[in-house]
Amino acid sequence: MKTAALGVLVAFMIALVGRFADEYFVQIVGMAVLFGFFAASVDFSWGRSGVLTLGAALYFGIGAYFVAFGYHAGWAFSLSVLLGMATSLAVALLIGATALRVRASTIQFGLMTLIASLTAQQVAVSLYTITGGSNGISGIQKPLLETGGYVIDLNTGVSYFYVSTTIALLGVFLLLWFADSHFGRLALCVRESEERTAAFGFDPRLVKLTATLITAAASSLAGSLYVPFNGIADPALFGIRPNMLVLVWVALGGQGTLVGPFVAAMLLQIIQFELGSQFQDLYLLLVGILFILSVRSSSGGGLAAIALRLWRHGTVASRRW
Amino acid sequence: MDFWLAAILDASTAIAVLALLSLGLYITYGVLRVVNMAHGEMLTIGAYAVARLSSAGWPFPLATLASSLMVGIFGLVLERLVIRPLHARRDLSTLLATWGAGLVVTESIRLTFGPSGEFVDAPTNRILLIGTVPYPAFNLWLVGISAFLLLSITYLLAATQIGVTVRATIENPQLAALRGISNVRIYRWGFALGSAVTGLAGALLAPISAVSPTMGVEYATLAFMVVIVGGMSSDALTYQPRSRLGTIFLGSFVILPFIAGCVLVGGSRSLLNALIGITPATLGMLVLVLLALFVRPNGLLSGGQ
Repeated sequence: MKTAALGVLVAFMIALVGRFADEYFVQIVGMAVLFGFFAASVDFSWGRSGVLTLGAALYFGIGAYFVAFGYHAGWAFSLSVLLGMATSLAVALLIGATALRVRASTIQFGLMTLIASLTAQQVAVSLYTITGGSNGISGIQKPLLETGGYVIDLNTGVSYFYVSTTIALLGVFLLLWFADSHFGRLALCVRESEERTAAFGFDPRLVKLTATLITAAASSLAGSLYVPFNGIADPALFGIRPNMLVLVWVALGGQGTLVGPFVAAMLLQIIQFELGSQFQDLYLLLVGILFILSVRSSSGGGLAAIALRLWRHGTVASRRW
Repeated sequence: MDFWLAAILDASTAIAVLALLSLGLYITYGVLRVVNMAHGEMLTIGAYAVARLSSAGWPFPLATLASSLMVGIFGLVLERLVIRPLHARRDLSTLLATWGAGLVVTESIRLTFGPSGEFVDAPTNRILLIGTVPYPAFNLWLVGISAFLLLSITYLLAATQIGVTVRATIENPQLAALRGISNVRIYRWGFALGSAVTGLAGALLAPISAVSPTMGVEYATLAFMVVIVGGMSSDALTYQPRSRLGTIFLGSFVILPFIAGCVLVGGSRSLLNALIGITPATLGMLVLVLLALFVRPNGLLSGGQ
């Protein structure tokens, strides 16, 4: 129930921002909400199912690149988004099936995804005829949305902001629903003990693969929606920085809560954008220190989780253990 | 003919360089089982240290040793502040915390020395002729140092008293502690040794690579691939040789998986690069690594599933 209340609160806040804030701040909040969705989707596999994904930006970047390429190739926006998600799913299936079949340890799997993401970065730099090389693909406008016979131009005002944040919020609720479903409980079992889950007759590898696929699809969607705000898709999307940041959000927000990482990512992104350029240089340094502290200070919760726990006392405890 | 000679020379250099920059990770991850995500950043520290020291007029060999020492001390600090408090948890927190430490190092270097790169002159610019193929003498030095370090570490692990205590601690920390071997000391100095080797590698690589705050990332990626695909049989470590032949046997078990990993990752990338260019070569290498993992999940030289 408190999750629903939070959802209403966030939706209300988004409506307020869309109605009253200036265009610049609307952009920032729009991107922040998408990063929140991205963080929640990564938390679904890491916090909920115990599948460490160090290279989740791979899927985010694939989604982004498909929309960017599709924009200049004249594809419909929805087609680009779906193609991006399909490609992300295929890549995740390839990595996941290989890793889980050979019984890669959690750490090995995490490293494999990170290696895949960094390789994608190199490929994006090299294939400059398709991806625009190290400059990336720029000049992306907000899309036209074709529904049935109607064409809505989202390039005016704040309409794209409403559409993208609505999709992202629905995505987060879908993740929460998955987490509470039969499958979500199974994933929780796998996180706690693979052997015991297997003893009950479920295949833990299948569960982990499914969680990976859900993360891939959701992250790709977030990346696709992000590009029209940013206007550019470049190889840095696949780099260490976004891969690291998303884990920071999850660790700070509290692993396994889904809502925590969503809120943490949103707030941290807004704070980062609002701080002056003087502070931008120090930002990653502080993030690194904060990350070490949050890993050291608690057994998986995170600084924000402590604050959250004070607010939604009972539910956090029951969700985590 | 020249093409193949050049390709094979390049591949051998690539393998030796890869062995050099992965050896520290092999010590910390392969032997001590500590996932050090700051490995790449340790290479970067080594490279920056050698760049600064040589521009201050230090001779290259001395600067290299000093850089190695510096990174070794950094390793000690990292072990004390970040790894030891988390080691008992046996989960992913060491990995995440060292990753955070890596980010802190990269950003500190960027803030101190700026985002642009540094240049380091190689101590020798001589070009040797092997057959008809020109080959820089410095690369020959790299191959030699790499081989020397590999042999030293193998000797240390397989044939010395220190090696026995390390292997005992990895195999069974409680039992080792009961025999009077301090786990804390093994992990502390093992990690420091791995860091010092990594610092040395970073310093030696500085003349042949672009020194920048983020230079470590690509190298660390390759190093992790080597260690994962090569694997390491913990059974081999528990074997205690009783004869010289046994020691050689154990030594080969300790180091051959690592070398096999270097050959697969470095050799295939270099050879494919000569044939089809760097991007398809990197992808091809990745496919080979995935295939190798598929067939031999426990390491290249293990007996399969």
